[in-house]
Amino acid sequence: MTDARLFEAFVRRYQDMVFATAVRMLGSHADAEDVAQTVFLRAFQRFARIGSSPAAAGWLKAVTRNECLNHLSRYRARWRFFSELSDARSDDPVPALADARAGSFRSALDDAARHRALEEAIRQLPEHQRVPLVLFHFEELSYQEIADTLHVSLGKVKTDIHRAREALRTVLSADDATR
Amino acid sequence: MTQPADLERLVHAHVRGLPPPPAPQTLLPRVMAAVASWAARPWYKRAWFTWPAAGQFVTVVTLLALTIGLLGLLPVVARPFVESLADALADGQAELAMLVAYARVTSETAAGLWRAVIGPFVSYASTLVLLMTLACGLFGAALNHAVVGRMSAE
Repeated sequence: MTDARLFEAFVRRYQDMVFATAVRMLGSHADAEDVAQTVFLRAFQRFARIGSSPAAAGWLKAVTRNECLNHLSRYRARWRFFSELSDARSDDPVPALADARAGSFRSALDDAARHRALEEAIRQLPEHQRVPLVLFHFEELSYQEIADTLHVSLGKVKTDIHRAREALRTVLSADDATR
Repeated sequence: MTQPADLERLVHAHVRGLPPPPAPQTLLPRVMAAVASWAARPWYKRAWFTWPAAGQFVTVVTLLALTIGLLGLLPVVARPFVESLADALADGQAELAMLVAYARVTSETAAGLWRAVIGPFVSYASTLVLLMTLACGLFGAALNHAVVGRMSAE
């Protein structure tokens, strides 16, 4: 088997994992595909070392996470601005995205549709809520690690994640009501 | 009202149950094309250690020639700077010598004045200051004894 064939098998094996991490963090399929391509190119450059390593999955996840944060960092100033603006209006109700999604969720008849609706609800979260939520629930980082990674305060991370969960709860409650 | 911990568990249970979104069909061809393009990039865009021997030889020789040329050129380029620096130091040295002379004259004058005017009176002045200090001390002690003694008698 040539190196190209081996690498193709490697990409086939891990592409869903890399793409899932990227698309959940970035909320955009196009951006996630760009990031996934960059990650696999870096993997190819180190393929001799990581190709058959049992740590390959962990390495790919870490690199994907960092690439996503790099990708987001160019919008970081705007991200912080809107995030702090929404913190200042913390009495506002949770964004109405869940209400919009609730209808489609309610009408969902099978698990796949419910999964799609929940993925869509996560994707629709504002960036400053979605990224820490994904890092906590999917990447299993602690609150402190997320605060360090995003260079924001611990309190802000907790607030953003809580608001994201509140938004998702509306979708999940609608699901429970239809069962 | 759901507690934050309950909400965390609820959301965690649901989102962890989500299957990973499948990568699009276009991702694999894109990656393989990018990898092929990267592998086919021209030799001069790769790491130097992977260059052809001739290319490595040429760069080493060029680097050596540049270094030797710069080293040979350095004295010529630096001469005006060195000369101007030496001039500045010479000027500075003359000014320094003048300052030392002034300082010497001033100190000799001060020493002469001390010997002729102040020196003879120093011993007398010191004795006077010592006596006045003793007198002040004695007066203070006497005053303290008188006042405190009266208060304790009362």
